Amino acid sequence: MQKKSLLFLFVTLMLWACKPVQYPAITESPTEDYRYHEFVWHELGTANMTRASQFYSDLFGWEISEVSRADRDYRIITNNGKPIGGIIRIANGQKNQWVGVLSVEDATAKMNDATTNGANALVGTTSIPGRGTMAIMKDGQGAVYGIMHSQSGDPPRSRNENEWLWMELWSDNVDESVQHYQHTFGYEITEREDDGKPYWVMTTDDVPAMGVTKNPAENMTTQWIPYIKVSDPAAMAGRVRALGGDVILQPRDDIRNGTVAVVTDQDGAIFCLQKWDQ
Amino acid sequence: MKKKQLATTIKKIILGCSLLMMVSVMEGCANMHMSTSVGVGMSFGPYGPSVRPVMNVGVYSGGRW
Repeated sequence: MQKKSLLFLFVTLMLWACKPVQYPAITESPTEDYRYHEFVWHELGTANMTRASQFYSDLFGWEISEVSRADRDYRIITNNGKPIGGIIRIANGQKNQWVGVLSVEDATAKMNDATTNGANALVGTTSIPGRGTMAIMKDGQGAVYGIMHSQSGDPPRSRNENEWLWMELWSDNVDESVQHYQHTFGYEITEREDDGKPYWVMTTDDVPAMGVTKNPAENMTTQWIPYIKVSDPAAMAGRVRALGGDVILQPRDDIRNGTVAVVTDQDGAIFCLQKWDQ
Repeated sequence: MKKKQLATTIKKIILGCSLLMMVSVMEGCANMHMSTSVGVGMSFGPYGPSVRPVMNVGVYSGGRW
């Protein structure tokens, strides 16, 4: 009898131990509201989880924590308790990179659309317990982005400081890039110009979702660049440098009236700091 | 008698510890992990960030509109 009880206990514990890791949803609470074809989540790929966590928590005051003992290579980022992104370990030898994730209705169907329009699937459709279904794509120009159908809905648009403000594609071939995203996601394209420099805004359901510009980084190929809302880009750029990051472009009066800084973390991930009063 | 009780207690403790260790080792044994299923696939390759960017301010006028 005692042996049977122990066996039952053992089997129960083993089944419990093998339960799937539940990852945090991308929303504070279920919204059941979707913002299809907008960037709704961001993942930082890094080979050095500890260093990246320290840098971003020191810079923005983000809270960064492990989600499970069973997966120490994934961390969740929250800002004032609100989930805003994740940090995921990538292979050694690669520099950090932020990957924006677009909300889609059907991840598999959209992955197929994207591949039809010249993208490759770096990671095919994957079901993430607690989160939803996602895939990681690389477009024909080499820019990496994610697609996800969140099972809890999408987070509302944020206007908070130290949170995502914008995504911008720095493209070596604007025509091909615009075609890929327009054909895959159905964006409307509006061309603007600032001081003679062309800029393309992609909108979905009349909402500006992202921008495209000619690649201003002379020695880098096409990639997506995230913008984070800050109140003082110059001061924040100084903090980036103090924390071991790099300032690629200080705010300048001739570029968006000094409201933008381009920086990297200590391991090379580019992101921009922008003051945005609207 | 006391020795027998002590031995039984020790056996129980060892059994309990063994179960806890197995749970710890096997936690998540049968499921996908973000890090292994997604992270290792995020290979940015030669076109990813590999150099310090040099900005051409004659081209750049970025940021949210």
